[in-house]
Amino acid sequence: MEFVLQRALLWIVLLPLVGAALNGLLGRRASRAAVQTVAVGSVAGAFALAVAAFCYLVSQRHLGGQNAVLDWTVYRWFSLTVRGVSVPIDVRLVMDSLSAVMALVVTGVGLLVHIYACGYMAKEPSYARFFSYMNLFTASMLVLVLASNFPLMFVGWEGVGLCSYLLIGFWFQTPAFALAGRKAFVVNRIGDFGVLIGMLMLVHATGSFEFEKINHSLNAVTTQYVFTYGAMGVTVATAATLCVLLGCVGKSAQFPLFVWLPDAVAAPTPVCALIFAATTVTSGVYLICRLSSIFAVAPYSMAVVATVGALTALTAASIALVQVDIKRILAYSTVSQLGFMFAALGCGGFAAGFFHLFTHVFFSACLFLGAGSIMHAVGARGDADIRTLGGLRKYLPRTHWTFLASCLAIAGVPLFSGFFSRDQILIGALSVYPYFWFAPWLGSALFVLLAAAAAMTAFYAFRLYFTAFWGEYRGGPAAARDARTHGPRPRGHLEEGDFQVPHESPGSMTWPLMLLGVGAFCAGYLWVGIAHFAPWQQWLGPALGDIGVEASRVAVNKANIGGIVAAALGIGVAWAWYGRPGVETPGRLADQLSDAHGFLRDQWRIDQFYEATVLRASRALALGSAGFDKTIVDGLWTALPVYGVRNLSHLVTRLENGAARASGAVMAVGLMLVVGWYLIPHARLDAQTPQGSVAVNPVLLAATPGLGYQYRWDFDSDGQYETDWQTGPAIIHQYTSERFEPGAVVLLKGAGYQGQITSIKVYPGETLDLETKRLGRWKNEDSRIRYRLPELVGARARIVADQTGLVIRPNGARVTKATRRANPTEEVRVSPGETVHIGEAELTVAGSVRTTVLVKNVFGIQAKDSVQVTLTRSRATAKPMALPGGFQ
Amino acid sequence: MSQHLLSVLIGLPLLAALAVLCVPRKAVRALPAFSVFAMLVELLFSFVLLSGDYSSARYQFVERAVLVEKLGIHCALGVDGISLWPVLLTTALTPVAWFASCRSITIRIREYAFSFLLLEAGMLGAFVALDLVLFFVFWELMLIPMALIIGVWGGERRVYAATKFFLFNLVGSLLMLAALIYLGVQYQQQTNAYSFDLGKLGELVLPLHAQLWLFAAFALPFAVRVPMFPLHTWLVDVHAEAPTGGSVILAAVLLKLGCYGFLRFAMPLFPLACHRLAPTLAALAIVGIIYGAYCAWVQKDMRRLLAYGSVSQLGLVMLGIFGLTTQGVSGAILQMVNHGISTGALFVLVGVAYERRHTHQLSDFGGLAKVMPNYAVVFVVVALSSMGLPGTNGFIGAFLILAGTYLSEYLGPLGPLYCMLAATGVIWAAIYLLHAVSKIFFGPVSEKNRDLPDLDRREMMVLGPLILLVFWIGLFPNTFLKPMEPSVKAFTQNYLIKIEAGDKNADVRETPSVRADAKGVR
Repeated sequence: MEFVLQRALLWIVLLPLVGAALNGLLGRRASRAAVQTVAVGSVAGAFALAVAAFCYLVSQRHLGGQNAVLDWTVYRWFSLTVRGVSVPIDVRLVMDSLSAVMALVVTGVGLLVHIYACGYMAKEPSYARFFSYMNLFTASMLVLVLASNFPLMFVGWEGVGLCSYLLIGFWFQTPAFALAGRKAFVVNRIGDFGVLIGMLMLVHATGSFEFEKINHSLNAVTTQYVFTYGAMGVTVATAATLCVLLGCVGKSAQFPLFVWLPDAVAAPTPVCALIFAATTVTSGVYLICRLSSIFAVAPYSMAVVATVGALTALTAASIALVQVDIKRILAYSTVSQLGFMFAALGCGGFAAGFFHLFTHVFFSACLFLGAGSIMHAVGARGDADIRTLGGLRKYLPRTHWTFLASCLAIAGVPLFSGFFSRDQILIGALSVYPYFWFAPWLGSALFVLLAAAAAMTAFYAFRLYFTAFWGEYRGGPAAARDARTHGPRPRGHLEEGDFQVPHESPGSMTWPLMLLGVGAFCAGYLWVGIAHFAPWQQWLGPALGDIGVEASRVAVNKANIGGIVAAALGIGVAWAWYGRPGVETPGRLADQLSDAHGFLRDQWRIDQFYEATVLRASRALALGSAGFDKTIVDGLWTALPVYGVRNLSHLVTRLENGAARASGAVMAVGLMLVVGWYLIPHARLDAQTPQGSVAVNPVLLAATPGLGYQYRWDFDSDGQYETDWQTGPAIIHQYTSERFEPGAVVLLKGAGYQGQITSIKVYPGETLDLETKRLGRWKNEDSRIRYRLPELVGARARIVADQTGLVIRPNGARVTKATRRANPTEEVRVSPGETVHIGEAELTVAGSVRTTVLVKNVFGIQAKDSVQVTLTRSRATAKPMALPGGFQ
Repeated sequence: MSQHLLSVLIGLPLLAALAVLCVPRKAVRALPAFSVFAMLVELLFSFVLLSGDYSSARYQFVERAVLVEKLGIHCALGVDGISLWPVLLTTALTPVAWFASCRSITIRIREYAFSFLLLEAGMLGAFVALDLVLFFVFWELMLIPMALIIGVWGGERRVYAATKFFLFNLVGSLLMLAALIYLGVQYQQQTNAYSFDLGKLGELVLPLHAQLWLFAAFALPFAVRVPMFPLHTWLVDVHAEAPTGGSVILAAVLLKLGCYGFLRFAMPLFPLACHRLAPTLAALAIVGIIYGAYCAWVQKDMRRLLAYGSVSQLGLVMLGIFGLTTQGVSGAILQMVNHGISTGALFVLVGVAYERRHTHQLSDFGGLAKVMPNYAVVFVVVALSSMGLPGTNGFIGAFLILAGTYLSEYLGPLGPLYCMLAATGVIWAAIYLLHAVSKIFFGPVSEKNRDLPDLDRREMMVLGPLILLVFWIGLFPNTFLKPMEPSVKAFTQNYLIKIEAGDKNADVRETPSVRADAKGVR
């Protein structure tokens, strides 16, 4: 059984992919029925397999396997080497409790949307292309969900972004729609950049790309630092989660990157349901849940997650208050609900956030498909102005009831799904304060923001509901065209003026609606459960991280009351203003507060802000770069040499005329310089030691090579050359102690990290006192931080140099020479080449010598250069160096 | 046969080129078919290279013959994991380039075929030469046919472009020639015998300051060829003027020789110098990535846009090389191949559009997705691979390079910083490529574009295999990474060993803490 289901994992992904390929390659020539069968059939197959796998997991759980997973490694993709260890990257699919729920949601809602689209898109000419994209979309999302490791997840992650691009720009002949698609892709890419960096940080710290291993490497991510400055440091956990968060903010349309989502309503309505409810936007929430253990140990990141979420919830809800296009309102409602989810995750309620995702899938998908049904009914294209609707409950009974159920759910009315999930979020905000120890007030602030957002949610949902379904029908989009001037509209699925009176949609559209409506009502009971059986928490508990805070009864009560009051307030105001005919309050308010109203209507002018800053700056930068490249950079290589050559030719012309003696002089000087350069040999000596100071005997000495040069060496610079003329520019020399200059050099091998060496010169007659200081903190292999001190606390060893070496007066410090510890008052004599320890610090007395080379060129002219060489080991203790490359 | 495989590979296009010259004027019509035939035979022969044993870093199919005994110049040829894929890229993309362009060449077709075949021989020779003089000969051999292709069959400003191409590349290679002679003389001074063998010259011990000059002399022509910022300006003009076939070959193969030169010659010969300069060069590579992408974004000419895109993508390749990790270098080699496939295909596609509309201006197009759906699909797929979408080849290369840069111990704390800057490339690439895509394919269709024919069978035949490769490398990259692994490992290890040997005496860094102690006392 397990064997079969493991393979089924691959087919869950492959079926939609095959469907996409078939429809994409052959669909143009196939009949609509065939396209439809392939598209719906493949997703239905994937759904069936996901259900089977889910049932298997449930049965395993009942048999006692707490961590029952289905896991199949398909093949080795490629591998990396991290810190010398090979890290494989496999195409490996895993279905655990988290991904099982997600896979069910994606395939289940995906299936309903596919069925719905068969009706909705019936008259679309590019039918096959549409379904090919939809299948590809489902497949990408399934890869994202089922991937066991980061890089494979990234395939789905970017695939989803790509499909959003393709589907949002589906009606590409309208430039605005194509632009909206591009915007979605680019904003998503900004997020992808974050995911990429976060992934590399995590693999660097934990040595694995597998989510499972990363989540179990808490020690590694909390003790390693990405960046340190003194005692301050950013742990890998914080840095990586912030990077990943950037990705999630882009993908899940959070503040301030949510700008792409409202434009994405350009997509055909079923796509909106898929993008905004079941797939793209949920992937950010899913990824945070996937990495919940890592997020849980990074409280600063969690605070950012929660704040971003609450701000998004409030911002988007406030914008939705005044929008007039039905899909735009719903788009902002999605953004706002995602904000709620992020706030929940940030407060440590991973199960609660994920639960809100789950309930949101139903009511949001239902709302979007309901909007599609309305637009289908009134013959609207692209989007519909709610002010032109009204009274639809008479014409669209099924749509009306499902829409109402979803509105009640999103508003958080008790007994509906949204109530339960949002309740948990508010409770989480009120109980999180011990976890945010650096900002205990944050939880309460979040609660206030979220409660305000909840009230707004209830208001805009019922404003939409009352305006569209109550009162009298106001004439539909024809009236809208009079009210507003439209840009070019896309060729939609319906011809204009097909219907005079709104009519209910076909069964392929209403059945999915009803199923989703039922879900919107009862999905919440999974959390509540029946009699000590709380399926949601029990199912997901083991898979999610925990921040270890408990909700108090007071918090629960406060949240309950806050949530209900907010919902009541919102619905009440909406009914008072929009539920009855002839109320002019909202219009008057809009006039009085025209600034605020305009600000909200323009969506907080965030788009304009980006346009004025980021976009304008980048465009200017791009134009500037291109201009710079054309004139300056290219000019540097073309115009400048041409200018030079032209002037040179002027010069030559003048010479020919015999007019410029000055030029002749210049030429002569130049010639002399060139001749001189060849006449005088160039001596430059290099002791293969960049600092020119410290070396191990023997030393490779290398002088400037040159054609016909000969070299003579004076190793101790006493004026007598030790060698005869030789042709090789390099020589290996073994120094012996007699040649050392008077004056010793102390080499201190610090006791600190990796025993790095430094050198201090002490000339005869000078003294040097060694004082105790911390050598700073350092980490050894097991990454525990330790402080290492030279053991001379309070003591000052004095070092005195004389003609033959050093004398050390311990003054109480521990001085060890050749394993013998000296008395505190004893003087220790150290000759060149010998080593002595003062505490943990190691001192070697080195010899220093100046070496000279004499260079002669073919003209017999000589030049000299010398270099100071200092040797850590002066006597011939080292093995002779192998002569490299046949030096003479 | 397999002992002389490499000479056959170089000799076959040369022979074909000579044969082309002997073709009588009447039979000129058969020339395209004949050339394609020769190139396909060459491709088949080159597949034999895959039978080599790439489980170790040793050169395969080695051939050695003395050319000039006194000067120690050999005809030394060999293939290893580093040069295997570039060689196959050359043999695979040459017929593609030829096939894509020969229809639009109307004048002097015989000379065109001759130049193409000569160019192929030159490129192959440069990829497999293991003797520096031989390499130099092939390196120069490429210049002439390429300059001719640009200058004779190019666009309006073809002579300017050809001159620019020639001068840029010539100045660099003259320096390389000087450095090469110096190396040989140096070897003679140390061993009393001349040699230009890559392996033997690698054993020379040169002091740092000499290495710096020599490295500069080698790196300059290579950096011009890559091209690295700020030496890239020739590429833009050349791409804007070259005929389709020339552009494809230039983008797909010729530029890779610059990267390859770094890997094969400049870095192993002068490790100390490269070690010293690598952070700077990596920084230049990153400037190239970002700057190239920004310049590409505002270009109005498709080919200029792609040329700047090449600058950006090859910056990434160079970053991978200078990061000096196994995955970075493997990624760089793979990305060389990827860029060859993707940008090669893009230039073919631009050529297809040009054949139909005789323009390269983005603004002359629009809405083509409606008119030429197959063309749009192919173009978008290739563009996506070019911007590194996971599942396509571009992702694997870019990911390996970025990971290599991040994990590079040798760039130290600069690694993550460089990686982040380079990773912004994923954003810029999306911007400039999608800009081009939406200009060409989206929006309303103008009157002139209404009746453009979609890709015909011949064009699909050229592009189909490239699309397959895009996905094959993206999904099964190990086919390509496995054979190059031992050679790349040996390359990085040898390099690090040489640096450590150079540093052995120099492992003297100052410990601030200890120094502070001492200072406080004086």
